[in-house]
Amino acid sequence: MNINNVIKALRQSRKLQPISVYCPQAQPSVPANREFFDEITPILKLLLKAFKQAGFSDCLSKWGELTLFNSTMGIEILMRMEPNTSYMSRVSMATIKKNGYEVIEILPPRKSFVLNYFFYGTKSKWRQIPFDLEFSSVESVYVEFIQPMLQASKPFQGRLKTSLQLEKNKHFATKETVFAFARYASNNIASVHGLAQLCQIFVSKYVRECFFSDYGAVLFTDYWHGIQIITWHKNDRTFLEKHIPEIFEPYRITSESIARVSEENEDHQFLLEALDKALLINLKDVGEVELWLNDKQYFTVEKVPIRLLDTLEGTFKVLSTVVR
Amino acid sequence: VKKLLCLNVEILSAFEKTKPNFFHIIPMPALCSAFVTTSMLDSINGAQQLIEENNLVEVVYHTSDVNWFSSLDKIIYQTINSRLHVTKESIFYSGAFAPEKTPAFVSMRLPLSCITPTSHPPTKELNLSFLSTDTAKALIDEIENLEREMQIATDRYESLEGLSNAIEGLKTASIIAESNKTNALAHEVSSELKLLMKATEVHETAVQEKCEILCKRILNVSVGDRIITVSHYKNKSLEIQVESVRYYNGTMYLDGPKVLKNGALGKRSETAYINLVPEDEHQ
Repeated sequence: MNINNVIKALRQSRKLQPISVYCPQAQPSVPANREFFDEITPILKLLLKAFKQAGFSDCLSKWGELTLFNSTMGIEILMRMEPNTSYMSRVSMATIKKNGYEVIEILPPRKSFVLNYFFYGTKSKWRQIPFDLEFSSVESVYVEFIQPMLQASKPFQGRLKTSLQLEKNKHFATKETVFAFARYASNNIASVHGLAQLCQIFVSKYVRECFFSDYGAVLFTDYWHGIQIITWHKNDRTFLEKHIPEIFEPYRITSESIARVSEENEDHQFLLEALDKALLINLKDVGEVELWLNDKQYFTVEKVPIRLLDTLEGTFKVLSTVVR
Repeated sequence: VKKLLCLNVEILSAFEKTKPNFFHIIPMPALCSAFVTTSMLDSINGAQQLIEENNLVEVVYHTSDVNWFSSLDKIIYQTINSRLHVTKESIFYSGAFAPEKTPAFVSMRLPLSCITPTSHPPTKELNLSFLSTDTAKALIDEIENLEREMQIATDRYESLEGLSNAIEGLKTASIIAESNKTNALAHEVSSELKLLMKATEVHETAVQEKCEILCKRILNVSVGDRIITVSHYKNKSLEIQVESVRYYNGTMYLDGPKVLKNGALGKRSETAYINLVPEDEHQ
């Protein structure tokens, strides 16, 4: 990606930070503070340039996680910019808990920013490089940041073949991310009935698997009736279209026999879609899915599963056994 | 060198209301920190003025200088709408996660005395030549008289104590007739003892007050000031902060903790001696 476009996208991604509070997996690279971002931008540009010259390709997720991937070395570096708060190590938690406050005199850190980095897809720890704003050339940035990174990366090289972040971006609408959006919406946006219901269900019950579609969501819970179906309302739709449009992309059913049934019955198409997704996840192959559908299962001694799909109740039954 | 304020953070019940059951997901603020800057002091002073002029309870500013932490080494990354509350005696911060504005967590209250720079008045040297002025002499005479009075009272007290002991030790003259005379005597002695005790206490406080007046008027030193003296041990000069003044047997003692090199107060207390009455050379 073009460097200016990356920075533009980073700037855009800061808008999602209020929502990323609810998603523990999200680790945005730049704080939402505007002054901070403006201060850091020139160095970020130089850094991205230096990375590009060193053979790294950049990748940005919707949450604003900036990673840099090098295919020859097989490493991916996740970056994070922070204000330098190393002085907090001088503070003792015991006195704060005892008195409620502590006042200490310290020298403010000379380098006021910190770059935290982490080798994606490995069990490496977060490493830190404190820095200030006195950089003018790409070379100095390379010496200051990338050389120590490469040195630290030696035990982790060769672990990755493709960029993990790219993979992640393809499947953005996972359970966790949609739940995060639902939490945010149910707290802060008026009359999002579908998302509020979704939020209520996964707060109170364990959700094993869920499928989202144009129509609504199908949740598999440990509750006694197993499957819960939620339909999107008008406000849900506008909110989700703004943030996760992937959900509304039309889904083509891969299994031929299920596709045939769905053409005939239009009233429970979304359930058939969910069934197709669930079968694909479980059996991993379209041929296997066809075999499974046309074979007598223990719960359908009289009929093969494909016969049950004609009615809504039958589809329910098949679905509930597939996910379990 | 800057001052860093670190405050403990408490979660309000509003937080639970807005974010039910999300405790395991959301980073919970546990403490916050802020540097004392000139702009912050300015805003505090402005708030104090407003409070005094309009008789307010609290003035609130929006700030972005506070950092919120979920633990000592974990800063909270997401934006927090934070505010600085200033009241008459204390300040505290409050905050909420970004889109919301009603505070969901507050910090502990920090007394203002922790922030304002504590500047000590310059240390004073004792100028003992003032003790030879007339007012000083008059004051010293008063103190000496009080001291003498006290001495007389204590002498009387001791002798009376012996008498009361002797009366208590007296054996009864008879079983049938009551020994009214000795009982009355014992009562009289004990009441006088009580009076004498009170009188000595009054004298002691009077002497101390006079000593403080002497210090303030003549030597220009009052309690809380820092003075330079010479320690009796090793003849070193040292700085003490006066905490109390006492007088005994012609000498005035100024007690107080020692001032360390970095300006803080030490634990050990030291004493400065001032001879008010010239020693009797004939003895």
